[in-house]
Amino acid sequence: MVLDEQELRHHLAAAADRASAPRFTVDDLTGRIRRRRAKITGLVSGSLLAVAAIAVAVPVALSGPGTPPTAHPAVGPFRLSFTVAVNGQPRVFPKNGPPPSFTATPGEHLRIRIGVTVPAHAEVTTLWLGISRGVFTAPGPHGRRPASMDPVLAHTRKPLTPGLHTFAMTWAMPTGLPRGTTLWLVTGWTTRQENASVGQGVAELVTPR
Amino acid sequence: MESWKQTLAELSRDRFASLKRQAFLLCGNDGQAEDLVQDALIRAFAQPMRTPRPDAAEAYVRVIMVNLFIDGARRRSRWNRTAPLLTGTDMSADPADQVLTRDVLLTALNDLSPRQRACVVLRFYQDLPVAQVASALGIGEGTVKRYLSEAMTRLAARLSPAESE
Repeated sequence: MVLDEQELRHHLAAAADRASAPRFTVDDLTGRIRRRRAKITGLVSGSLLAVAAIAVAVPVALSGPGTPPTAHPAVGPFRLSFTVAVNGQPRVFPKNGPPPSFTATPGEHLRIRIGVTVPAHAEVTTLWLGISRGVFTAPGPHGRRPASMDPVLAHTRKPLTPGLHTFAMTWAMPTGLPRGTTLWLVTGWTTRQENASVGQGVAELVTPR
Repeated sequence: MESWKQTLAELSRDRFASLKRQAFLLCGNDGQAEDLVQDALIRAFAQPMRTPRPDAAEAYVRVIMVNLFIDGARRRSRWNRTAPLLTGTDMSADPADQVLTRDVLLTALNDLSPRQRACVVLRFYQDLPVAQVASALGIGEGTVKRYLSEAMTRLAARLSPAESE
Protein backbone atom coordinates (compact mmCIF):
# COMPACT_ATOMS: atom_id res chain seq x y z
CA MET A 1 0.00 0.00 0.00
CA VAL A 2 1.62 3.27 -1.11
CA LEU A 3 0.56 6.76 -0.17
CA ASP A 4 1.11 9.40 -2.80
CA GLU A 5 3.17 12.33 -1.45
CA GLN A 6 1.18 14.93 -3.37
CA GLU A 7 -2.01 13.48 -2.01
CA LEU A 8 -0.61 13.65 1.53
CA ARG A 9 0.36 17.31 1.00
CA HIS A 10 -3.18 18.03 -0.11
CA HIS A 11 -4.64 16.21 2.92
CA LEU A 12 -2.30 18.07 5.29
CA ALA A 13 -3.17 21.46 3.82
CA ALA A 14 -6.88 20.67 4.10
CA ALA A 15 -6.51 19.48 7.70
CA ALA A 16 -4.43 22.54 8.65
CA ASP A 17 -7.20 24.81 7.39
CA ARG A 18 -9.43 23.43 10.12
CA ALA A 19 -7.40 25.39 12.70
CA SER A 20 -9.26 28.43 13.95
CA ALA A 21 -7.73 31.92 13.78
CA PRO A 22 -5.29 32.69 16.63
CA ARG A 23 -7.06 34.21 19.60
CA PHE A 24 -3.97 35.83 21.13
CA THR A 25 -2.70 39.29 20.20
CA VAL A 26 0.69 40.97 20.07
CA ASP A 27 -0.19 42.84 23.26
CA ASP A 28 -0.86 39.54 25.08
CA LEU A 29 2.54 38.27 24.06
CA THR A 30 4.52 41.48 24.60
CA GLY A 31 3.81 41.55 28.34
CA ARG A 32 4.74 37.90 28.78
CA ILE A 33 7.90 38.29 26.69
CA ARG A 34 8.94 41.38 28.64
CA ARG A 35 8.52 39.55 31.94
CA ARG A 36 10.48 36.55 30.62
CA ARG A 37 13.24 38.87 29.39
CA ALA A 38 13.41 40.56 32.77
CA LYS A 39 13.70 37.19 34.47
CA ILE A 40 16.49 36.10 32.10
CA THR A 41 18.34 39.41 32.61
CA GLY A 42 18.15 38.84 36.36
CA LEU A 43 19.42 35.28 36.01
CA VAL A 44 22.22 36.26 33.63
CA SER A 45 23.38 39.17 35.77
CA GLY A 46 23.16 36.85 38.78
CA SER A 47 25.26 34.23 37.01
CA LEU A 48 27.77 36.83 35.90
CA LEU A 49 28.03 38.07 39.46
CA ALA A 50 28.54 34.51 40.67
CA VAL A 51 31.28 33.97 38.07
CA ALA A 52 32.85 37.30 39.00
CA ALA A 53 32.66 36.34 42.65
CA ILE A 54 34.44 33.05 41.94
CA ALA A 55 37.03 34.91 39.85
CA VAL A 56 37.74 37.16 42.83
CA ALA A 57 37.45 34.54 45.53
CA VAL A 58 39.68 31.85 43.98
CA PRO A 59 42.83 33.99 43.42
CA VAL A 60 42.42 35.56 46.85
CA ALA A 61 42.02 32.17 48.47
CA LEU A 62 45.05 30.82 46.60
CA SER A 63 47.18 33.80 47.55
CA GLY A 64 47.29 32.56 51.12
CA PRO A 65 46.87 34.67 54.27
CA GLY A 66 46.08 38.31 53.65
CA THR A 67 42.87 40.15 52.76
CA PRO A 68 39.79 37.92 53.29
CA PRO A 69 37.81 37.05 50.13
CA THR A 70 35.07 39.54 49.23
CA ALA A 71 32.85 37.24 47.21
CA HIS A 72 29.26 38.36 46.55
CA PRO A 73 27.20 35.37 45.41
CA ALA A 74 24.08 36.32 43.46
CA VAL A 75 21.67 34.14 45.42
CA GLY A 76 21.14 34.95 49.06
CA PRO A 77 20.94 32.47 51.91
CA PHE A 78 17.28 33.50 52.37
CA ARG A 79 14.59 35.32 50.42
CA LEU A 80 13.02 38.63 51.22
CA SER A 81 9.32 39.05 50.48
CA PHE A 82 7.96 42.30 49.12
CA THR A 83 4.64 44.11 48.95
CA VAL A 84 4.32 47.01 46.55
CA ALA A 85 1.76 49.81 46.27
CA VAL A 86 1.92 52.67 43.79
CA ASN A 87 -0.42 55.66 44.31
CA GLY A 88 -2.38 53.58 46.81
CA GLN A 89 -2.83 50.63 44.43
CA PRO A 90 -1.41 47.51 46.13
CA ARG A 91 -0.33 44.57 43.98
CA VAL A 92 0.48 41.02 44.92
CA PHE A 93 4.04 39.88 44.33
CA PRO A 94 3.60 36.09 43.83
CA LYS A 95 6.27 33.97 45.46
CA ASN A 96 7.47 32.30 42.25
CA GLY A 97 5.86 34.60 39.71
CA PRO A 98 6.92 37.75 37.91
CA PRO A 99 6.98 41.07 39.78
CA PRO A 100 3.78 43.15 39.56
CA SER A 101 3.28 45.72 36.85
CA PHE A 102 1.95 49.29 37.21
CA THR A 103 0.99 51.71 34.48
CA ALA A 104 2.52 55.18 34.94
CA THR A 105 2.36 58.09 32.55
CA PRO A 106 5.48 60.18 31.80
CA GLY A 107 5.77 63.01 34.30
CA GLU A 108 3.33 61.39 36.75
CA HIS A 109 4.15 61.79 40.44
CA LEU A 110 4.20 58.39 42.08
CA ARG A 111 3.77 57.60 45.75
CA ILE A 112 5.53 54.28 46.17
CA ARG A 113 5.23 52.13 49.27
CA ILE A 114 7.34 49.00 49.52
CA GLY A 115 7.08 46.53 52.38
CA VAL A 116 10.11 44.31 52.92
CA THR A 117 9.76 41.31 55.20
CA VAL A 118 12.99 39.91 56.57
CA PRO A 119 12.56 36.26 57.62
CA ALA A 120 13.25 35.06 61.14
CA HIS A 121 16.90 34.48 62.09
CA ALA A 122 18.05 36.62 59.16
CA GLU A 123 19.56 40.07 58.99
CA VAL A 124 19.91 42.41 56.04
CA THR A 125 23.01 44.54 56.33
CA THR A 126 22.24 47.11 53.63
CA LEU A 127 19.23 47.59 51.40
CA TRP A 128 18.85 49.90 48.42
CA LEU A 129 15.62 50.72 46.60
CA GLY A 130 15.59 52.61 43.33
CA ILE A 131 14.91 52.68 39.62
CA SER A 132 16.61 50.76 36.84
CA ARG A 133 16.07 50.40 33.12
CA GLY A 134 15.92 46.62 33.38
CA VAL A 135 19.24 45.43 34.81
CA PHE A 136 19.19 44.15 38.39
CA THR A 137 22.61 44.69 39.88
CA ALA A 138 23.57 43.63 43.38
CA PRO A 139 25.29 46.14 45.67
CA GLY A 140 29.02 46.45 45.23
CA PRO A 141 31.73 45.70 47.84
CA HIS A 142 30.94 47.01 51.34
CA GLY A 143 27.26 47.34 50.32
CA ARG A 144 27.90 50.16 47.84
CA ARG A 145 25.10 51.43 45.60
CA PRO A 146 24.12 48.93 42.85
CA ALA A 147 25.69 50.14 39.62
CA SER A 148 22.51 50.03 37.53
CA MET A 149 20.32 51.83 40.09
CA ASP A 150 19.64 55.42 39.09
CA PRO A 151 18.10 57.21 40.90
CA VAL A 152 18.27 55.75 44.39
CA LEU A 153 14.96 56.21 46.21
CA ALA A 154 15.83 54.75 49.60
CA HIS A 155 18.87 53.37 51.37
CA THR A 156 19.11 51.86 54.85
CA ARG A 157 21.81 53.03 57.21
CA LYS A 158 21.15 50.41 59.90
CA PRO A 159 20.77 46.63 59.48
CA LEU A 160 17.21 45.37 59.03
CA THR A 161 16.08 42.88 61.66
CA PRO A 162 13.46 40.13 61.10
CA GLY A 163 9.99 41.49 60.47
CA LEU A 164 8.27 43.98 58.21
CA HIS A 165 9.97 47.22 57.20
CA THR A 166 8.01 49.72 55.13
CA PHE A 167 9.55 52.34 52.87
CA ALA A 168 7.48 55.23 51.53
CA MET A 169 8.96 57.13 48.62
CA THR A 170 7.89 59.63 46.00
CA TRP A 171 9.23 59.84 42.50
CA ALA A 172 8.15 61.35 39.20
CA MET A 173 8.27 59.31 35.99
CA PRO A 174 10.64 61.07 33.56
CA THR A 175 8.91 63.08 30.86
CA GLY A 176 9.34 62.23 27.20
CA LEU A 177 9.37 58.47 27.63
CA PRO A 178 8.05 56.64 24.52
CA ARG A 179 4.84 54.63 24.80
CA GLY A 180 5.27 51.13 26.20
CA THR A 181 8.59 51.92 27.93
CA THR A 182 9.32 49.83 31.00
CA LEU A 183 11.28 51.05 33.99
CA TRP A 184 11.88 48.87 37.03
CA LEU A 185 11.58 49.40 40.74
CA VAL A 186 14.58 47.43 41.91
CA THR A 187 16.28 46.48 45.12
CA GLY A 188 19.80 45.50 45.99
CA TRP A 189 20.60 44.07 49.40
CA THR A 190 23.41 42.41 51.26
CA THR A 191 23.66 40.20 54.29
CA ARG A 192 26.61 39.00 56.32
CA GLN A 193 25.18 35.49 56.19
CA GLU A 194 27.33 33.74 53.55
CA ASN A 195 28.50 37.24 52.61
CA ALA A 196 25.68 37.40 50.04
CA SER A 197 24.70 40.27 47.78
CA VAL A 198 21.48 40.21 45.75
CA GLY A 199 19.89 42.39 43.04
CA GLN A 200 16.29 41.89 41.97
CA GLY A 201 13.26 43.56 40.40
CA VAL A 202 10.36 44.49 42.67
CA ALA A 203 7.85 45.93 40.20
CA GLU A 204 7.72 47.23 36.67
CA LEU A 205 6.48 50.70 35.74
CA VAL A 206 5.14 50.76 32.21
CA THR A 207 4.09 53.82 30.24
CA PRO A 208 0.73 53.40 28.46
CA ARG A 209 0.67 52.20 24.86
CA MET B 1 9.93 50.72 19.37
CA GLU B 2 12.43 48.00 20.27
CA SER B 3 13.41 45.82 17.29
CA TRP B 4 11.94 42.62 18.73
CA LYS B 5 8.56 44.28 19.20
CA GLN B 6 8.66 45.50 15.62
CA THR B 7 9.48 41.99 14.40
CA LEU B 8 6.70 40.52 16.53
CA ALA B 9 4.24 43.06 15.17
CA GLU B 10 5.29 42.23 11.62
CA LEU B 11 4.89 38.51 12.28
CA SER B 12 1.46 39.09 13.75
CA ARG B 13 0.21 40.68 10.54
CA ASP B 14 0.12 37.53 8.45
CA ARG B 15 2.24 34.79 10.02
CA PHE B 16 0.41 34.04 13.27
CA ALA B 17 -2.33 32.17 11.41
CA SER B 18 0.22 30.15 9.44
CA LEU B 19 2.09 29.25 12.64
CA LYS B 20 -1.19 28.18 14.22
CA ARG B 21 -1.98 25.90 11.25
CA GLN B 22 1.36 24.14 11.61
CA ALA B 23 0.85 23.81 15.36
CA PHE B 24 -2.62 22.37 14.74
CA LEU B 25 -1.17 19.65 12.52
CA LEU B 26 1.37 18.82 15.21
CA CYS B 27 -1.12 18.72 18.10
CA GLY B 28 -4.35 17.84 16.33
CA ASN B 29 -6.15 20.04 18.86
CA ASP B 30 -7.01 23.71 18.51
CA GLY B 31 -6.47 24.70 22.14
CA GLN B 32 -3.12 22.95 22.39
CA ALA B 33 -2.05 24.49 19.08
CA GLU B 34 -2.87 27.94 20.44
CA ASP B 35 -0.73 27.30 23.53
CA LEU B 36 2.09 25.82 21.48
CA VAL B 37 2.37 28.87 19.20
CA GLN B 38 2.30 31.29 22.13
CA ASP B 39 4.92 29.33 24.07
CA ALA B 40 7.19 29.16 21.02
CA LEU B 41 6.84 32.89 20.31
CA ILE B 42 7.58 33.77 23.93
CA ARG B 43 10.63 31.54 24.02
CA ALA B 44 11.92 32.88 20.71
CA PHE B 45 11.49 36.54 21.60
CA ALA B 46 12.60 36.26 25.24
CA GLN B 47 16.18 35.79 24.00
CA PRO B 48 17.99 38.58 22.17
CA MET B 49 18.00 37.68 18.46
CA ARG B 50 21.01 38.19 16.27
CA THR B 51 18.91 38.86 13.18
CA PRO B 52 15.45 40.01 14.16
CA ARG B 53 14.15 39.84 10.56
CA PRO B 54 10.60 38.50 10.37
CA ASP B 55 11.44 35.58 8.05
CA ALA B 56 14.39 34.45 10.19
CA ALA B 57 12.34 34.88 13.36
CA GLU B 58 9.48 32.88 11.87
CA ALA B 59 11.79 30.00 10.92
CA TYR B 60 13.21 30.09 14.46
CA VAL B 61 9.74 30.04 16.01
CA ARG B 62 8.76 27.05 13.84
CA VAL B 63 11.81 25.09 15.01
CA ILE B 64 11.06 25.92 18.66
CA MET B 65 7.44 24.91 18.13
CA VAL B 66 8.38 21.47 16.80
CA ASN B 67 10.82 20.87 19.62
CA LEU B 68 8.36 22.02 22.26
CA PHE B 69 5.81 19.67 20.75
CA ILE B 70 8.21 16.72 20.93
CA ASP B 71 9.24 17.54 24.50
CA GLY B 72 5.62 18.00 25.51
CA ALA B 73 4.66 14.69 23.91
CA ARG B 74 7.42 12.98 25.88
CA ARG B 75 6.04 14.42 29.11
CA ARG B 76 2.48 13.46 28.14
CA SER B 77 3.66 9.93 27.39
CA ARG B 78 5.23 9.69 30.87
CA TRP B 79 1.92 10.85 32.33
CA ASN B 80 0.00 8.34 30.19
CA ARG B 81 2.14 5.55 31.57
CA THR B 82 1.42 6.57 35.15
CA ALA B 83 -2.28 7.33 34.65
CA PRO B 84 -3.51 4.81 32.07
CA LEU B 85 -7.08 4.92 33.31
CA LEU B 86 -7.35 8.64 32.71
CA THR B 87 -5.65 9.06 29.37
CA GLY B 88 -5.00 5.63 27.92
CA THR B 89 -3.92 5.24 24.30
CA ASP B 90 -7.27 3.61 23.55
CA MET B 91 -8.87 7.02 23.76
CA SER B 92 -7.72 8.08 20.33
CA ALA B 93 -9.02 4.84 18.83
CA ASP B 94 -12.46 5.39 20.24
CA PRO B 95 -14.93 5.65 17.33
CA ALA B 96 -16.74 8.44 19.16
CA ASP B 97 -13.55 10.46 19.13
CA GLN B 98 -13.15 9.85 15.45
CA VAL B 99 -16.63 11.18 14.88
CA LEU B 100 -15.72 14.21 16.92
CA THR B 101 -12.55 14.99 15.04
CA ARG B 102 -14.27 14.16 11.74
CA ASP B 103 -10.93 14.07 10.09
CA VAL B 104 -9.33 10.80 9.13
CA LEU B 105 -5.95 12.36 8.57
CA LEU B 106 -5.74 13.90 12.03
CA THR B 107 -6.71 10.56 13.55
CA ALA B 108 -4.09 8.84 11.43
CA LEU B 109 -1.47 11.36 12.54
CA ASN B 110 -2.27 10.45 16.14
CA ASP B 111 -0.90 6.97 15.40
CA LEU B 112 2.56 8.36 14.63
CA SER B 113 5.26 8.94 17.18
CA PRO B 114 5.89 12.66 17.92
CA ARG B 115 9.12 12.64 15.90
CA GLN B 116 7.48 10.87 12.96
CA ARG B 117 4.64 13.35 13.06
CA ALA B 118 7.04 16.31 13.22
CA CYS B 119 8.96 14.91 10.23
CA VAL B 120 5.75 14.53 8.19
CA VAL B 121 4.59 18.05 8.99
CA LEU B 122 7.95 19.66 8.27
CA ARG B 123 8.58 17.66 5.10
CA PHE B 124 5.14 17.53 3.50
CA TYR B 125 3.36 20.56 4.96
CA GLN B 126 6.26 22.98 5.34
CA ASP B 127 7.96 21.50 2.24
CA LEU B 128 11.37 21.57 3.92
CA PRO B 129 14.13 19.46 2.36
CA VAL B 130 15.20 16.40 4.37
CA ALA B 131 18.45 18.13 5.39
CA GLN B 132 16.56 21.04 6.95
CA VAL B 133 14.14 18.73 8.73
CA ALA B 134 17.13 16.90 10.19
CA SER B 135 18.71 20.17 11.27
CA ALA B 136 15.48 21.44 12.87
CA LEU B 137 15.06 18.25 14.89
CA GLY B 138 18.74 17.80 15.63
CA ILE B 139 18.86 14.29 14.15
CA GLY B 140 20.57 12.71 11.14
CA GLU B 141 19.19 12.81 7.60
CA GLY B 142 19.07 9.00 7.53
CA THR B 143 16.94 9.02 10.66
CA VAL B 144 14.55 11.53 9.10
CA LYS B 145 14.21 9.31 6.01
CA ARG B 146 13.50 6.31 8.21
CA TYR B 147 10.87 8.21 10.22
CA LEU B 148 9.24 9.42 6.99
CA SER B 149 9.17 5.94 5.51
CA GLU B 150 7.64 4.43 8.65
CA ALA B 151 5.14 7.28 8.87
CA MET B 152 4.08 6.89 5.23
CA THR B 153 3.49 3.17 5.74
CA ARG B 154 1.34 3.81 8.81
CA LEU B 155 -0.57 6.65 7.20
CA ALA B 156 -1.21 4.58 4.08
CA ALA B 157 -2.65 1.80 6.22
CA ARG B 158 -4.97 4.24 8.00
CA LEU B 159 -5.95 6.40 5.05
CA SER B 160 -6.53 3.79 2.36
CA PRO B 161 -9.50 1.96 3.96
CA ALA B 162 -11.10 5.31 4.72
CA GLU B 163 -10.83 6.34 1.10
CA SER B 164 -12.28 3.07 -0.19
CA GLU B 165 -15.42 3.52 1.92
